[in-house]
Amino acid sequence: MVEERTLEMDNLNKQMVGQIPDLPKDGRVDAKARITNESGKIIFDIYHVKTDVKEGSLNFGEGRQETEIREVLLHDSTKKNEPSVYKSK
Amino acid sequence: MISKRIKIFLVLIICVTLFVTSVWAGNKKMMAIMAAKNDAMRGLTEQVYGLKVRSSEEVKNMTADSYVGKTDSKTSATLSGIKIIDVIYDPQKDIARATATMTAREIVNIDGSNVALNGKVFKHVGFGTSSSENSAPLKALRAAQVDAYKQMAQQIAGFTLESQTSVENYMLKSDLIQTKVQASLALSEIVDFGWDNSGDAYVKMILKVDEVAAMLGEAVVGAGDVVEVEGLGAIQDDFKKTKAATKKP
Repeated sequence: MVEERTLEMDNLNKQMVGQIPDLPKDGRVDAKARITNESGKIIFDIYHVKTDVKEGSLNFGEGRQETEIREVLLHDSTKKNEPSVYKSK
Repeated sequence: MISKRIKIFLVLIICVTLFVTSVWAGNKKMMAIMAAKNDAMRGLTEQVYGLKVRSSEEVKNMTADSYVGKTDSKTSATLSGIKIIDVIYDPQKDIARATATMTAREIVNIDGSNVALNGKVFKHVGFGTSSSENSAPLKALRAAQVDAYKQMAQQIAGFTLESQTSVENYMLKSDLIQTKVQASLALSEIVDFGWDNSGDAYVKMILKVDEVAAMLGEAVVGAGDVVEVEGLGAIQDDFKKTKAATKKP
């Protein structure tokens, strides 16, 4: 039963993260959601998303060395006044 | 003369031994029955008056042995008119069963709301034992009951999910998942319970949303007319050894 619950939690998490727009190809996503059940439908109210993208190569034109930088992009919806809400269909 | 004294001494020893054994057996039975009655009354209080449920779960890297789930339940009320019926004691297993029942017109529940029970009869079956060696199936049943409360709270009140997820080539991998729920719950009924062949317990619990709304005199947010959950409780912890080994340096 622990294994089943572990899978259920993984499933729920993947459903939640899958609803976040503009997911990076590679990276890490921290997310928080309030999950409710309305008439058998699971509703994800995602109120916090933090995404980091580890690294990217940027070319600043001819004659310049290609620079590898470490970049952290933050999209933290808790910093906004209005929380982001995504609902499952 | 000496043999007479020895005989008297032996008879005395036998008498004392028999008396102590009979007293001990009676005590065991009474203690098991008292435990069963208390369990039944607790279940009835949780059902009628309500309880507070607080639960958290955590799993790391999708490994079952990292799963940590904890659910606390709490209730405290003064209920009058509880009757205990159908008391059965099994001397072989040293387990007693008792049913608590009550009926009332109106009560104030855990949230301070007036609930019109309209004479509905509530029942709860409880179990008890005097020895810890025989308590495993009863503990599994209580665990299943608390799990059912947790699931009911999650369905009715909702819960929070926090996670850290890795994305590799758009593929998701759950690194850390945590869930939390805290809610008050009342008027949920146990419709079935038992143990499977391995000894694991199950408790089927329902909450009739319309009936509860009528009793409270207000609309209740729910997932349909009847919310149904099945709580599970294990008779033994398969991950106990793994966790103990992990803790050692």
